[in-house]
Amino acid sequence: MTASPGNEIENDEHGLLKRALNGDAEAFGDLYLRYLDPIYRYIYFRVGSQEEAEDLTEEVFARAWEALSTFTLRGQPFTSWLYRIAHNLVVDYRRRQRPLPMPEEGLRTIAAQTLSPEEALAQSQEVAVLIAALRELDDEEQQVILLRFVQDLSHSEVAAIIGKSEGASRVIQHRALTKLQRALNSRKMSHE
Amino acid sequence: MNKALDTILEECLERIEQQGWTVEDCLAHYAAQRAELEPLLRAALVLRQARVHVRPSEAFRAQSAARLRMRLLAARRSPQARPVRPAFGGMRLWRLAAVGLLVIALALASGGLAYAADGAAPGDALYTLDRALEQAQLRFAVRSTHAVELRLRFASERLDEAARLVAAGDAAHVQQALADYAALIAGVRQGAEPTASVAVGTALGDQQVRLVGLLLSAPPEARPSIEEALDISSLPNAARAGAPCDATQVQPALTALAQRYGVPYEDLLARFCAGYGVGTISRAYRLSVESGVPVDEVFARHEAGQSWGAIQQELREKGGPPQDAPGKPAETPQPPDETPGKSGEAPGQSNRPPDRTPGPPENPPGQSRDKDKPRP
Repeated sequence: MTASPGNEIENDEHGLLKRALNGDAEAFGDLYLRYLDPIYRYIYFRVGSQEEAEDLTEEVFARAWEALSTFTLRGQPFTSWLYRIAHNLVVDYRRRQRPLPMPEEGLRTIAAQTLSPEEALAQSQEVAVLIAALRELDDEEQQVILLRFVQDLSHSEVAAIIGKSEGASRVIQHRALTKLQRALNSRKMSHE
Repeated sequence: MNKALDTILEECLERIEQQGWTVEDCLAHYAAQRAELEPLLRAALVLRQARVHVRPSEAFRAQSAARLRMRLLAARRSPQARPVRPAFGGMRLWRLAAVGLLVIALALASGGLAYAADGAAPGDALYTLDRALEQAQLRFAVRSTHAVELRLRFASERLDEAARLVAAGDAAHVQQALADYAALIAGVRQGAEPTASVAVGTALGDQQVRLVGLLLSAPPEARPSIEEALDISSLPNAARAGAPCDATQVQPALTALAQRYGVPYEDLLARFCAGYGVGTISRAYRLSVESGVPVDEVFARHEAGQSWGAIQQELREKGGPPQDAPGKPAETPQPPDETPGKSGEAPGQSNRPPDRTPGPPENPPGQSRDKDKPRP
């Protein structure tokens, strides 16, 4: 039987985790580079600020390193563990920052290598509208649809992260998408 | 959401993203579910499309790894990760502190022991005693500025010890001295108050030049530790994209590196201002020299998300064995110029020359100085 690329990635991750658990900071650094983008993206959609997203992203990995001895290789996947840490940090942040600042609009929030400045600005405004609409959802609803459609996780992975069943994840997703579309429509109508 | 509708939603997303379907195509295909499916599909597509454009900036990516390394060193490490020290392995911190106090009392009673311990380096029997004495002094530092001064002094001692170990060719203990140095500097950077920043910056700048000096003469396996220590001592505080770049502190170290690699100082300054620490810049140029790959490509690989470990491995495979692999003579160290760089000495910076430790042999046969210049 040949190993699929997916298995190789998993095995590689397993090796890095084993080394990190033995105190190898270089291995943890590799894990950091591997998961920097998805964790940043998840946090950015939750807080709507580049600077806050950067600070919280670093904090996720610093906390993960500090608590690494509590992570078990045979338990939940490492990514699920990171998302849980990220979620807890975001919830704490949102509790401290009431009311939340307006989502940023501007070129610097957008990775614009392939876009013209006008396109990037338009895209940035769309992202800001989306983040504002997401705020009409509760924490769990935001978490589920971001994990599902931004992070591309399956219902079973989402269920493990939120600590509920796959069925519950589906129900939350349905409710969250419906609410999100309603919020987007109302923003679109008020804009027109 | 029932499972069937969920499956339809996923199928629609896949067909839209991969097969060029429109939302209308999908709704027409699943006409019976149209009313319920449409809002879900449109909202999910907004999320999918937005994710493509949100990712961390290059400046953040470049700086955050170095910042995180510094935090990891300062952070409490997991029990499994904590290295066991032979003399005090398994002791709790308070017991170590108690031992430190006892040691101070003993040292006061017999000054010779403390004196001897102060000169110990990693690998020496008295090194653990030396560290315990330092820890005890730090615990009793009342003012934070005093603790910063102490850490800087102890860090300077670690560099002295590293220089002696480099001269003795003891790579393993060089790495330990530098890890201890990095932990002290991480503490300095966390505890330094704004009023102390000029003095701290001057001391760190001085130490960076000494580290560059070490880099030139250290065994190859010790160089990553030196580069790591350089990064930690040179990382800009709260560096952010768009903030003005203050290179005052690192100017002597960058000048020394520019001279070492025969490249313009301004090139290195631009890298520093893009968020790279001095150690990382040094590492990229070293890898470029070792592999023959242009330095821009080395940086591009890192900016594309490759770790330095992975880049090193790939480049070594591509370029053959490194020129200064263990067992081969390393390149001749070219000590940094003691004079300030081209753009002038920064205010408050010292002219202290780097440590001149005996270096490895001269260039290996067939290896010219030009080969050390990274390709632009």
